[in-house]
Amino acid sequence: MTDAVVAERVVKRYRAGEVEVTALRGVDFTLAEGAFAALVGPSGSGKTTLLNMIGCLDRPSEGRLAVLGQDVGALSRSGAARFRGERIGFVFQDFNLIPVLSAAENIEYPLVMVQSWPAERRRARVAKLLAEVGMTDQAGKRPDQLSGGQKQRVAIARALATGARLVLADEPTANLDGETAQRVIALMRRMRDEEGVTFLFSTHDPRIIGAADLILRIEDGAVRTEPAAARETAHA
Amino acid sequence: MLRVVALAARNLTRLWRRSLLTGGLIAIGVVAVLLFVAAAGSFRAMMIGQITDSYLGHLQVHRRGYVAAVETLPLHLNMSARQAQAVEEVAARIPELVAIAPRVKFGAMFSNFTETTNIRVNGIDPARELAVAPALPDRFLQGDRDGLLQRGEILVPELLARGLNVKAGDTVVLIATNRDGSVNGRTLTVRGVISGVTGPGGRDGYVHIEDARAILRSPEAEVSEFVLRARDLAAIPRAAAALEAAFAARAPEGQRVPFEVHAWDRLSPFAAIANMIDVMTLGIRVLLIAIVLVAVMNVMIMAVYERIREIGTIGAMGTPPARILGLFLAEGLLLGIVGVASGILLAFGAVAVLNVFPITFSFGQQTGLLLRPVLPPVEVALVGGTVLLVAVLASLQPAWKAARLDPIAALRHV
Repeated sequence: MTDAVVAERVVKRYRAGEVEVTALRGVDFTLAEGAFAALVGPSGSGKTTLLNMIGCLDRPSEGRLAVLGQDVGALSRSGAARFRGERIGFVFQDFNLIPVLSAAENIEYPLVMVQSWPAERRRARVAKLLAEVGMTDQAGKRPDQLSGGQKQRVAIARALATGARLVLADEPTANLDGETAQRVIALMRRMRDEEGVTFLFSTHDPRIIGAADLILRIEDGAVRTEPAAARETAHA
Repeated sequence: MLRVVALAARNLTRLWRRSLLTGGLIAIGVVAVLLFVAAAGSFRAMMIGQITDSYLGHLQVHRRGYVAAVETLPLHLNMSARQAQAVEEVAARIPELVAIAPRVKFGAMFSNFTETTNIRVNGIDPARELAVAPALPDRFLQGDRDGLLQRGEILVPELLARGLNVKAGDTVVLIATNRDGSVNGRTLTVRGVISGVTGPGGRDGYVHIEDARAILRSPEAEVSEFVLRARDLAAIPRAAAALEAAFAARAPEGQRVPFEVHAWDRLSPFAAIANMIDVMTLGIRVLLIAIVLVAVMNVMIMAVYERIREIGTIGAMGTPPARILGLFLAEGLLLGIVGVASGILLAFGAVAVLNVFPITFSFGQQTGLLLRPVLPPVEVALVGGTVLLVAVLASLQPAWKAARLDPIAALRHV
């Protein structure tokens, strides 16, 4: 098994007005492919900054960050966009579905706008994903006609549409009630098990933390990995 | 590409009232421009037709310096018979020209035996004059217009006829001084009374060209001006250029060309009105461009601002910036298409109504003129194309901004 993410002494600095802020101070960790990992830490600890870099939306100031074998620092803006479109999926706290498109069309969106798949192949892929996330009967509904859990299932299907090998989810259960959140977590785990996709969540939700194989705890700009066996202790 | 356009169309339905309002605003602008162009164009064409067909002709040829001194109708600047023959030979070889007629012009005293006034006389060859000014008979207010006139007859301008109480069938006298200073007179019968035309001509009467030469005691078939008719109005500049080139080619080396060629617009004050119509048309087009620019840019700026998080989302998903740019440009273009299509349909409808219920108007002494607007396809294409181009240009800045948005900053946007 190869590594989905390898971070070596990753430093991230950015300017906030006149002040230079160091968000990450030499982060080292490895995330194996197929992992179901939670990135946890207090607000302002650098979770989002790290997630953005892993998602090739930002670059490290120092150090090396490799995602699915690709050095993030070496990517141009358009190269990063292409890489994201092919290899990385995103799931957002607010779902971020396109309001004028139906559930099926939202899933189809990256296949049209990012990868230009032929129509027949697109239809088959969308139908498969709708079935996998249990949304076949809701395919024609627009986001405002779906519940929060249904929207997140559509968002997960959209993240996987192009055959992404890594899904980054930013607080994916924050806007869901307990039961729905559990269903969504179970769905993502099943997708990981069936498709072998790596999932990395930024979360405060103990339900996801409890379901994760690996916890990346970020504190004071540094990351500490905690295997699943240690999760109960981590929460204590 | 079609999917991008389809998505752009969907995006316009998010706030359909705003899209409809913008499209409606563009449509109103298109209708206003096309109606103005149609009405002004038909008015312009009608007036040019009136002026050229009833008096000026499309082109005129004079001896050099004649037009500059035309107020005095200088006899010493008439063309000699040899020169006149040269002009006719040149004109006959230019395919854009379909007719040519000579005129002998002079100033004279006009008397009804009790009162006398001055008159500008045009000596014409009736058959040839009808070929270059076919609407001249339409100016008849009294008298038999068939064949215009014969030797011994005169067409009196309305102004003089009214002032001197002269009517068709009356006998009048013309007295003129020839280029040698001797005075000669001739008794003529009033064949008819004619209306004035727009521009010079309010005191212009007509006699037969042979009578004119007789009054002036011309020793040869001299000519003051040649009036020429081109195949159509569009052919006038080509015909003028061909005439000038031919005259230049015939002029002896080192000598100035003895003739001047003037198109109708250099001889009539109406050309200034026609130019003003052109300027007003340009002005209203600029206004339309401003409307489209402001309307589309406003909507597109708002669209980008309202969808920043969405743009961040699609950017994070890997949508190429060029495709985001294309999406917003397509939205602007579609707004333009909706506005243009509905505007053109409405304009054609309005023009059809105006042709069924035409507007009458007066111009100068001419009353009861019917305005029958026509929408030339070229104008429709020009206005439509301009609006679509401006709609895309107006979308360019917002679309560029959307394409350049940093997904991180966009996703953070509240």
